[in-house]
Amino acid sequence: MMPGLTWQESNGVNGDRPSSESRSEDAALIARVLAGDTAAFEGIVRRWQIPLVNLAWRFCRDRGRAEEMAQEGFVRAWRNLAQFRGDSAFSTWLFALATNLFRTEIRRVPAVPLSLDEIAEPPDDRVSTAAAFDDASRDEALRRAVLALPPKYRDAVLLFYFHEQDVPAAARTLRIPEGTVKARLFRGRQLLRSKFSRAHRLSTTATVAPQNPKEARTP
Amino acid sequence: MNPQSPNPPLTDADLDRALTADHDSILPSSGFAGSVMNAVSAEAAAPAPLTFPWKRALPGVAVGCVVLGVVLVSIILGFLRRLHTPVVASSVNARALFAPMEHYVNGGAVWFAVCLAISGACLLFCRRLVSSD
Repeated sequence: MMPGLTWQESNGVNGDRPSSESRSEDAALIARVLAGDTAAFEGIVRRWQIPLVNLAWRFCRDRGRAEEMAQEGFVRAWRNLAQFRGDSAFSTWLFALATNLFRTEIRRVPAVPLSLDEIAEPPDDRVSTAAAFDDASRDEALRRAVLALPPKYRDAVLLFYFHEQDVPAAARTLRIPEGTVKARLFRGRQLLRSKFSRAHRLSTTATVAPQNPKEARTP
Repeated sequence: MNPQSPNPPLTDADLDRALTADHDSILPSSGFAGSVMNAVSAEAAAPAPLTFPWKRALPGVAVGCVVLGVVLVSIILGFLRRLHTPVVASSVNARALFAPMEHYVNGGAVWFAVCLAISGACLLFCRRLVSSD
């Protein structure tokens, strides 16, 4: 990764917008792998390991599992490399392939669902940086809440932010029209808002009266 | 939460802050690339999966398709002929309507079609087994 750049900028995560230098470097490595040089695939792994692990991380929020999923993504990419025709950027092909794999994997073994207890975690008033702590815990709860969305909204939200809020790139990765991504994004955000306002109501009442444990588990 | 200082409602800005890569990214562990390459090398060393013997299967598949097509076309033509034949309304009953099929039913065409369907299902199942994905 180049200093001063995010991993998206240095790798050209935004779909078909990587630099020509980056594309030719990918193309050279792919040609070597297809010619039988398996070791050349390490170059591809090193170039794309950070984005792919991060993409997997967004789907499961578990570092160990993210690495396992990303590894399987690379193995599958290696296995299907001959099918990459070069009509789009390698990153577009790789992320689409990996996204399919991650979706299947998460369907098989779901990620940890949203726990309302986490959202309702009261900040410690004695800490001087209570507001900052509150923001951080809320952000983390929000990231987990995204995983609890129905898959089609979850995928749109995850890919939109993975691609630095680039709708066309998210659409290419999901292989759906841009309009569909926008609609799903809108609905996903709506669901998150309603989930959080409900959680917020629960958390504020929790400090006034003892909370019913059954109610706290209501999604 | 403290009821005196409740969180404001969730806004798009909150979502953007929480979900953008700057705030939500990890680095792979140092041995990740090596681990991937070990898996790829193991995969490369493994024998290639068996490909489906299309050359051997193709004649049988082609003959099956042709026979199935002939049977279907004959049945459809029989129905059409029967429908276009001027008959008294009261004589049109289910037996008369399905009469063209009787010949094929008696001739074992149904069993033949079932066998073809089972063969097709087996073919798809085998393809799924031998495919790598």
